[in-house]
Amino acid sequence: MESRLRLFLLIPLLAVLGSGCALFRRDAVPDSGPSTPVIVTDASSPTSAEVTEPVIDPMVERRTIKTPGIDTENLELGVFGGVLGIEDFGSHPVVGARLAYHVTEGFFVEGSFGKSRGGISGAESLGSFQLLTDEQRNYTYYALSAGWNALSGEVFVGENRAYNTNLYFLAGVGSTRFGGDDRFTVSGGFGYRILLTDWLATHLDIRDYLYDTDLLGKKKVVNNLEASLGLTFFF
Amino acid sequence: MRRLCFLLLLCLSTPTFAKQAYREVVVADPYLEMHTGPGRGYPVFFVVGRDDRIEVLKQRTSWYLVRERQGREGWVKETQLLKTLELDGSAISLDVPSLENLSESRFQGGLMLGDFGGASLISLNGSYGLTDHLSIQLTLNHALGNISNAQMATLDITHTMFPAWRISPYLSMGTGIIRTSPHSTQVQEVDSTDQLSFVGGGARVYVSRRFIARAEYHYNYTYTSRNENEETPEWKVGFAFFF
Repeated sequence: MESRLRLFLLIPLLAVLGSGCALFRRDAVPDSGPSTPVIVTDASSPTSAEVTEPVIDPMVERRTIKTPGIDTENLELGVFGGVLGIEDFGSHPVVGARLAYHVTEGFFVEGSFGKSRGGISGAESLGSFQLLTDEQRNYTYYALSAGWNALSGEVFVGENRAYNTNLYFLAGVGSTRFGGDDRFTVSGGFGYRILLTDWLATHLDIRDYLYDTDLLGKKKVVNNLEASLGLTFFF
Repeated sequence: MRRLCFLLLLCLSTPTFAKQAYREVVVADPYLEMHTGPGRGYPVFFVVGRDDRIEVLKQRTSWYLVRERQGREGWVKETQLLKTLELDGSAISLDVPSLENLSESRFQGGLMLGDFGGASLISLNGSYGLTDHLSIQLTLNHALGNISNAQMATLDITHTMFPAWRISPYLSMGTGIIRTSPHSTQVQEVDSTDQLSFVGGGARVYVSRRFIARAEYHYNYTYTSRNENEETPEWKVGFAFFF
């Protein structure tokens, strides 16, 4: 009985000793390599991944750097006001708007729209008759022009202020509505742009608008001169 | 008192606005010249040295407004800015328009002048590219004659034969409406609005940057309310920009 009990206790003891203390080992290094930490580069290898934690993980996700865009300011929008001399119908205030696109540092294209009102012509005041109705005296025009910054420079105000300037020439075509009809209009002129900041500019413009008319009976070319001051901003 | 101080601090700290982020580049040439204005005649007033960083604030035509470390702002020519490097050391990438961009671009807008059956013609157009070859175009025409004027709005489909070439012919066909109004001195007719259609062709030439020159011829058929239709030849030349 006693020997049976002894045998019963000895069998598990032999089993433990025979396995070489395998039950007590922790996660051991698989081979007897160098004692320095191993950098595991291939994470897909199951044996190495199980065995050791990488000290440095080289698979760092690359940061995506978002490069800010550069703002382009080639468009110039603004308003103007001045005086328009309407041949035979007197000089009157004119207001309008302009939009320009700067193609190169020298050239730009421009669309402009203006509004004025004609007065009483000399013939009407002498003959005491009405040539045009009230509505027909409204004067509107548009012009599509090409411009050239011929002379660029700077003006100096006092000792510490300098403003960039351009003297430009323009030529264009368009249409003028006066006396109830639209007339093909050729325009030309020059202007002086003073940039108060790098986005805000003032303009002084002198332009001439030419078109054929037969309002006073005989067909002729009229010259309508316009002098205006404008304020524009680049965007 | 402590609560009052806390509220005061809170009020003072709230209006903190985010500073706008500008593109930063590094000067790679021995120096970078800053001009006082966006033009070749404006004098150089400051020079940024190699390896210095600059911020690019804005672009106007082929000039760029930049700010150097100490806050000075000046204009740099595109050819010089193209020699700078991004912060990671790679060459700078700038949106410099070229012929390659033309075939990839989708939008075009332009102005043309010409003749519409003897009347002076002013034409504004805008087009949208469906493919490299095909585009749809909206055109607004104003024809100004001695007897009458006409306003037209047309929609057409244009086939550009060689979109990647500098010079490419194109064919177009379209339809629209025409509103004819005789001059007030004419007594025989009143305003009329009719449908018109046309076939035509032309050529476009890439000039530089975003600039294209165009010339085209159309043959228009106006479906009038009278017994016979009107046939009007039209030609025009002009320019356009692509975006």
